[in-house]
Amino acid sequence: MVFSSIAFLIYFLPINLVLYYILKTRDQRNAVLIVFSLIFYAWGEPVWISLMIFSAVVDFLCGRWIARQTVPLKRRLGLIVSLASNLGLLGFFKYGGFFVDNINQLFHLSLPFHAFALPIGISFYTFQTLSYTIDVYRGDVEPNTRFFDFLLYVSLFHQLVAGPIVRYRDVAHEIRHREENWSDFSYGVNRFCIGLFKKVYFGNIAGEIGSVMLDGDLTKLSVSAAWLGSACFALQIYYDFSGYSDMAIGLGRMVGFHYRENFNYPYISESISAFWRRWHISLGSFFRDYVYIPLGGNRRRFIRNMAVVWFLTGLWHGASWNFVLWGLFNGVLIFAERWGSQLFRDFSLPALIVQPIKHVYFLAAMLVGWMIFYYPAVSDGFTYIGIMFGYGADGLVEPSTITTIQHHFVFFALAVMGTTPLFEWLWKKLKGHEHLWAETALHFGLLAISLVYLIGQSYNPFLYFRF
Amino acid sequence: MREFKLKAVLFVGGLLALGIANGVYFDDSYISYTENRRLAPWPEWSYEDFFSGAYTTGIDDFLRDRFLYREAWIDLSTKLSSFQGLKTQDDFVLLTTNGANEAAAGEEKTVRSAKIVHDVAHYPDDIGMLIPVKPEKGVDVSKVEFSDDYKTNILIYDQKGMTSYVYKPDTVDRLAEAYNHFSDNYLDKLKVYVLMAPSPVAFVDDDYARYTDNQYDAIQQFYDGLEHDIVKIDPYSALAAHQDEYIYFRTDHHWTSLGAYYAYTEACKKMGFKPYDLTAFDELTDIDFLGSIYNLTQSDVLKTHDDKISAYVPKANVTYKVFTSQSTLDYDSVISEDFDIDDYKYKLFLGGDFGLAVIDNLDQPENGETLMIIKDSYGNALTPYFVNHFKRIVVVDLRYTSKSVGELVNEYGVNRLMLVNSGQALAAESYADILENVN
Repeated sequence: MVFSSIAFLIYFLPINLVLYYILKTRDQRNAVLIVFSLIFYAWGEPVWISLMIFSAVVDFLCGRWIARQTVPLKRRLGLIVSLASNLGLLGFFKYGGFFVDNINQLFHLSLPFHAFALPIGISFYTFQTLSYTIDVYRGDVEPNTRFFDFLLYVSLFHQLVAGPIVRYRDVAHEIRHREENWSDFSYGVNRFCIGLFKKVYFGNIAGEIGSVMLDGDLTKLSVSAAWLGSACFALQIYYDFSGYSDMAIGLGRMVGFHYRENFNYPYISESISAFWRRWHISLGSFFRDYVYIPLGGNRRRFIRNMAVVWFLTGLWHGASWNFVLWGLFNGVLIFAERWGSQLFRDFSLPALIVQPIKHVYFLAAMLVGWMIFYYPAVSDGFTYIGIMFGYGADGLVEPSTITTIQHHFVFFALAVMGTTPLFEWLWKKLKGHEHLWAETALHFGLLAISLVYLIGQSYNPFLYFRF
Repeated sequence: MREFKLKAVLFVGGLLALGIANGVYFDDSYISYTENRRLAPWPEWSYEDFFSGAYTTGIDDFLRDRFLYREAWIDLSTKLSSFQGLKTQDDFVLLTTNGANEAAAGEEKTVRSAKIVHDVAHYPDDIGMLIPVKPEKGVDVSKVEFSDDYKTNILIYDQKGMTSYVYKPDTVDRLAEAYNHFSDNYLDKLKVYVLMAPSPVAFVDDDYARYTDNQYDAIQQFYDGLEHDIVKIDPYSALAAHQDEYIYFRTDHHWTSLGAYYAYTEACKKMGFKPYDLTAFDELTDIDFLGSIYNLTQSDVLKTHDDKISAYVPKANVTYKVFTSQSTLDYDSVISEDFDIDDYKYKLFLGGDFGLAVIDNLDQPENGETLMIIKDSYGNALTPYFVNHFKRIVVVDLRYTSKSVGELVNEYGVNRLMLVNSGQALAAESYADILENVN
């Protein structure tokens, strides 16, 4: 199931919340969350729900084992079992086909591999359970002693399918000792409505506009259309993803969980390094804490560590070379930025000049990067990027780009403003006193518009029924 | 604090109320006329579907398609979308569709997602779209999917809309081969004619030609690929000579009765007939019509410049029988407002698409010739012109029947056979599938 579906909005969510608040004890309430989470997952993935439960069982047992052992070797064994089973599942289901394809191509073999459809959310929940056993191993967190509490952490539908990657230590206390209150609930409603609107309005519409350029005939694409297409994709992926994170955070708040923020206006960055501190924060910090720093961080073998982290960050996004390339592209730019800032250390220019230049550089780099990300075939991505810089482009500007912008001018203006803190700032300025009713009206308005669009999107005429 | 609680209650209560209302009074429409498609039914339970996820997807589709007052919600979303842009002088609109009928972007109504299976086999009889015959053998037309063949643009300019053509030479070759394969069964017994009608985009204004492939080249390639013995009726130049006249609808993807007339005159040259003048027909005029391109785009421009159908009705006394799976319908005209045309006015011609229909001209001598027309909907506006030349016309639409053409040819004593399609068929691999599998 997805949050932006009618079944979720008018049945699953309200029934879940009503049952949750009718029941009073912590155990009952947690049970409601588990049952609903399993239904939520099984709705889209009735078979591989077994995998998620298996993963939860393994990590639960490993966590307990590690905590009980005193001999370092035995503790390490527990960690290895957990790592092997989590990464093994991820490797088999997500990367198996990719791996075998590459081996076959490299050695001219034809090893058979039955590729399964990627189980929903596997990239998220395996990372969550991994963070748990590693933290237990490091002694950063107490192991959980009640399986159902642990299962709740793994399966909770709020962040199960699209993140953020919630660390066990961030919610360990709240699994049994959270305090629901109406103020949190109300805040959760706000975040949920905003997130849904971001996804349904901005994300979906930007995606539709973008697909005209991105999925069309590339030989007929002009330079301006190519940049517009890439910008649409940048908007789409930001609003989709941050919208989902907002909804997850909101859903958590409704029942007393506090998840960390996952996005912090990434597109206002002035460098790729800054971008990664603001974009999908839970993933970046996962790789920082569990890969980069253990490898030695920037003290020891910095370049190797960078390469490994950005290779993995890319690969995490999908089993395809374009994602790896995208990861490395980011890594190289971050490395270059570091080197560049040392080089220009002694120059000082007014911020008024430097900042716009930096921002333009960042936007261009990001938009080029997204096109590596967008096209699974690396050659398509390069063709597209070539067009962005005039190579193989069909002119600089053509009428349809201009009409596309005109026909969506208000949308684009709002969408771009929405990637900055402008609205938040404006709202705080206006708020001052008691504006709860205005706030409620605003958020319910966004919810209503989202519903209108969701149902409106079912309008699906069939033109060629009669040719 | 009380305000917070009230907000929470309103949120949950509001959503739940929608849920309950939808559970009690869901929209039970079976079909959406404006969208020209069947609305999703409640899925049938099976373990297989459940484990593949198809069952739950079916529920999602059902909820979306049957949402209470769905049309009002859709209207509202169209209105909201109209605030996305700036009104401009230039009213050119380009919408792009990806996949089956997934359109995106544009000032107008946008449409998207979901690959729709071409499920004619499930259409009910009473609205005349039908013939739910399950083929005994050969291709199961209910499983024919329109795939990426149909990745198209929709252009609106000068108050008219049209869909672009996607030229894939391999597909055109395959279709020509399929026509040859099909015709091989009949060439030794019958005269076989093929008429490939250009669709409106074949005459697109030069300013917008970049948004479509060239259909003229495709049609020429198609004719070049046909066997020598097939008589090729190419109406392109006849239509081109009149392209400033009202030969295509503005809001629909079909040609007008007038456009079909020019193709008819071209056909007569190849068939050895002298064409009748338009004055030899009764004229039905001024029927207001908003067609498929309007339905797809919900364009305000098209709505204010709707089509006026004029139709040329043969004066001969005819009987017109339509065979559906359940009944035979009898009419005394081939162009009539008495057909059930309210949902789609192009059904004025022959009453729409049927697997099998037979026209008898009572004014012709008993030993007159019989023509079989195998057509898509472009044939509907064309067929009536041939009534004056034949004792009997057997009209077959292979998309809606699995009857054996060979048997029908024998049964009705067919003398000539004509295949009529719109140029859009030259992008449809699925039509080649059908032709290769009928017998």
